[in-house]
Amino acid sequence: MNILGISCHYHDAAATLIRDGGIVAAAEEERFTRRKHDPAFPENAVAFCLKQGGLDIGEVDALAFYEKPLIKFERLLTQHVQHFPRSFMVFQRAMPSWLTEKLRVRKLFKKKLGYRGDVFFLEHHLSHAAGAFYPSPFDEAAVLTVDGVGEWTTAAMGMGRGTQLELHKEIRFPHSIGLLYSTVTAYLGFSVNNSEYKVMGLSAYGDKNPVSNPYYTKLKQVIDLKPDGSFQLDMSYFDYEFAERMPSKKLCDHLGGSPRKPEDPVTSRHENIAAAVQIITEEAVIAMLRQLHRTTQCPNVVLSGGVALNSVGNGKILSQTDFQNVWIQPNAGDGGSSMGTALYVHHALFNNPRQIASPNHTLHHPYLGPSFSSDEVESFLRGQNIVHHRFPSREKLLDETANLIQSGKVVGWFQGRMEWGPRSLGARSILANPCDPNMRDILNLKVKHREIFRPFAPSVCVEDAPKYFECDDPVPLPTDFMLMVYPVRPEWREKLPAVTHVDGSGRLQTVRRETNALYYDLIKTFGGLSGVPMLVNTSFNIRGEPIVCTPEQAYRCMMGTGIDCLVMEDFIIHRGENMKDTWDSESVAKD
Amino acid sequence: MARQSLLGDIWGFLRVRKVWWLLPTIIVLLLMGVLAVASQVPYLAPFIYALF
Amino acid sequence: MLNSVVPEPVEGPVRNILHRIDKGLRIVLKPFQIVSNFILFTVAYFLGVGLSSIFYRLGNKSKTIPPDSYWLDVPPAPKDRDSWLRPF
Repeated sequence: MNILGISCHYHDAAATLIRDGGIVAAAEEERFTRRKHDPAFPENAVAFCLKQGGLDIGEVDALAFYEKPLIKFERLLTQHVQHFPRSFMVFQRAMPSWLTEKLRVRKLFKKKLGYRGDVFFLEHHLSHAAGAFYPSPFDEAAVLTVDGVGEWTTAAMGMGRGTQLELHKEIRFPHSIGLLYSTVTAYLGFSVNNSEYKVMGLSAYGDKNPVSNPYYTKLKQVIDLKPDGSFQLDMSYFDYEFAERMPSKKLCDHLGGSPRKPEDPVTSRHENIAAAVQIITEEAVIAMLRQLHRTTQCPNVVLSGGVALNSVGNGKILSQTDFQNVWIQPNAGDGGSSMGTALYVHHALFNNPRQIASPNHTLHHPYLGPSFSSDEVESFLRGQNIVHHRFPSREKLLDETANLIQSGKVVGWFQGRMEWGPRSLGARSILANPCDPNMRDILNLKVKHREIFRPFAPSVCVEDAPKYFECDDPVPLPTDFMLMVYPVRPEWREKLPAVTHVDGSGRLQTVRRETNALYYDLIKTFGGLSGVPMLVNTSFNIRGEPIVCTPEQAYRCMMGTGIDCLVMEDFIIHRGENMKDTWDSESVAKD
Repeated sequence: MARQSLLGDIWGFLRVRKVWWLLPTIIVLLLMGVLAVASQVPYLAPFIYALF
Repeated sequence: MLNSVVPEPVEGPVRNILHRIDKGLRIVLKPFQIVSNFILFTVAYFLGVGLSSIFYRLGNKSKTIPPDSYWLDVPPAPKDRDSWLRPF
């Protein structure tokens, strides 16, 4: 049975194809259209999924959509009605796309895909929950979903057992931890729905002590958080129900002034506000998880929703709750719901058993996107007259790459199938030496063009992680997806300057040989040279652009930045040996 | 098989969700839909998705 | 490379001409469309949303007792498969 799952229309449109419960392909639309967080109908992602599965649309047995559009419409209209006439301008902007596209999802599938079969609609948070539970390695798990908002729900708790999954409790709009975080993101001058991770990075510079951080007390007045993790926001501090701004004037006054403009410098006040919202988010999520454990008594928990991408908070789950095992959907935002909705239809609605032991039923790795064979890469390189070097021997390729990294070069790494989710995890990555004290500045200035306060992540082989990081034992599976932040062991902090954040933490990615042998072996080969089997791993993109997908995009990214060389399948391409492309990354770098 | 038309969906939605007070808005919007946006409206990237 | 996996629509000459006419008309009529849409949605807002807000305020009295917990019960998921075919 072939099921296509689709999420779109708000942000991070994506498609997933499953066959008999096994995950065949999954990708976000942004990777094809090159528009970051592209919300548009994922025609390209669907085309890729079908091609990967060797199917045409007529062979798809069911299509699953990640939301109930009419219930979301009800919520939006209710907002307009409740806030009449203040919501007039937003009504003008929002309604046309509802009438043309968002209410006509079935018609859209027919028109854009030629699909004429059944379309199943799941609630937004059920799709999130399914995306966390069904691909997890657990037969039974408690489920927590937390995001901005779906139809009405902003957070939900439930339980998955075998093929069945139910949500039991929820928090409803306008009360939302995700929207609280986004509001502070907007207040701090970063883009909503895109730059929440910058606030998380910035929070490490602020005062993490709730007693001495004055903004913690101020933000606590905005939220009524109960011991069971439920909460309500004081909506007088927020305008997002009816206007195209998130904080209200009252919140701005409360936090001591108007919102920061993007071009303004970041001050210690901003750092403390970021720290305060991070602490409150962690408190809320941990309280929800404790309540979830009290009610389910299950040792396993799975998480999804945008807030589950908060890796700083995730690193505290096992130490601060009674759960023994955790799994998080690597694409925990809305994109991952395309996977959840398809799997729910397969297991819960058609009652097909789960096969946890089967490799493509449990999501052991995120490599679900397009790949390009060595022949395709060579054809591209030859077609563009690009000077390249072929390394048919795997060992020689690894030796050469490790040598380049050891000598201080910044290396673009393009191998195998593209990652699913927002993180580069060793398929479309920029790699560098974590021990080089200048590497953070080199990467920031030459390649990433990003804020100096944001940390870089390390990749380390899973068995080596406890040597360098104070992580849970055994190392939790979500670290494979770079979703947990742990303290770097004090004795290694100075030796790993490129990947140790200002508070001594690191957002590590653990690598297993069974899921990415080439990358694992590269880390080990580099370790043989440097004495530290670890690499800086940052996403292969220019700031403001999605992660690269094709060889052409990878090459253009290298030529437009300070990346020194590109290791693409069997080939190494040196920037210095090729004509400087006219493409200028500085001109396109944006938020 | 559930109803497949938009009008059928909306009728079912009002009946199941019992949000009858939305009826005036929905009727007027449907009329607008016929009159106004028969052609494609450029896709607006939602800045604040809670409102879109 | 990969972007080419999306098949181009098959277009005959007549369809092609009609498509170009449609495209041209859209460009010419765009300013009129923006103005007319603004007017129509203004009417929709003040008539439709305005009326709905009166009914809403009549029918929904605010409840202000703070509970011990803000968790709300989620209604059980429907058992029959057909109900999942509804977009609501």
